[in-house]
Amino acid sequence: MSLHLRIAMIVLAVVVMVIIFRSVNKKHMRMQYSLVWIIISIALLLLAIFPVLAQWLCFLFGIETPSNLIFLLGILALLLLNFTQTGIVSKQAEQIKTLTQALSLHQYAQEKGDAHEDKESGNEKR
Amino acid sequence: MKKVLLIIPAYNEEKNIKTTVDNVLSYTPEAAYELDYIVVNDGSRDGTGELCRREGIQCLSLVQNLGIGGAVQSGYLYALQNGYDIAVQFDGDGQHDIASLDALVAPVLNEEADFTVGSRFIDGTSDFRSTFMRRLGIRYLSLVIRIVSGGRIKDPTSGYRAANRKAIAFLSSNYPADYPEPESIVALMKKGFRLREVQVNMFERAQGKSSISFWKSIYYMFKVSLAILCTSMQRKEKN
Repeated sequence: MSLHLRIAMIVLAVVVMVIIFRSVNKKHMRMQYSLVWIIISIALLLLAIFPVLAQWLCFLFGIETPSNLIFLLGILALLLLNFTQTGIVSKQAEQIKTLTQALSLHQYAQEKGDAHEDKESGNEKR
Repeated sequence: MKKVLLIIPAYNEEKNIKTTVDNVLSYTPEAAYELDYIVVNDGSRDGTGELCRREGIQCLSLVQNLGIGGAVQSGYLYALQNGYDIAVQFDGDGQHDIASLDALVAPVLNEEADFTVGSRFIDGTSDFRSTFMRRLGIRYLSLVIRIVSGGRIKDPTSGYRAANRKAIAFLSSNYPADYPEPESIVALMKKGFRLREVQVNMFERAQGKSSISFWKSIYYMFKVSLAILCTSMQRKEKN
């Protein structure tokens, strides 16, 4: 792994961590959703600081160069992120549906209640 | 006397909804039950909601569009919360013949079935039986359902269906989001509900185009097949 690549990885990892921690502190991002990002940047940092890790992994999986390993890990990390986010989106879609139904039913019951009251008060006047 | 609720989902149906509701109101059931209806306005962009207010049509207006599954499910929730004995899904575009209601509801009223599906294909008396390609698709879905659940339903895409209290409770918390009909049939079978198919009459839609175009129909077949398979792999429950 070239020194340039290692420096770039360290810078990237640090920048990502700073952005994530700031977002969590400003409540732009939930702690639970930030975990995956933090794990990814820690992994990036470890690989950059200890290139021997990358070499060992390359040997283990039969990958020719460490940079290819970084690409592979990057793609896997993105897939993982996307998978967890699809889960989050699905759950939220279900929650939004339930909310919409509850609110709509509530509004309808209220409208009907109002109409009923109007009728009753109308009768009293007569 | 048993209370029956017609759930009429409506999305941009200002041209049809008045006629549909008038037809429903003019229908006098021969069997002994009390008929009520609720239009579920699924966040229509046209004047459906306004028209319902003006004409005094009972209309549950969803605060945003949920799609057909979410709309029908809202109807089931309404039926559950207001203690109806039977809920019937009835299209807002005038495709379903209200004259078939007695026949559709009868097995549920007599407690012979938990859920009935109004079919166009039992004895061939329906006015409208769809195009050749559609019928082919319906046959295919019917076959898939038979393979995964063993039940014979000839018209699994039919949206003219009746449910008893138990089925209402189940469907109000388990209803698929889009193209829900075949999938919900498999889910009901899996949970041990007794299904029955009943011959009903349907018409060609009066206004507007069918919601399913060519590319959508490819997606439809794929999605529904997948959904049926997923549902069929759920654990079976005791009756």
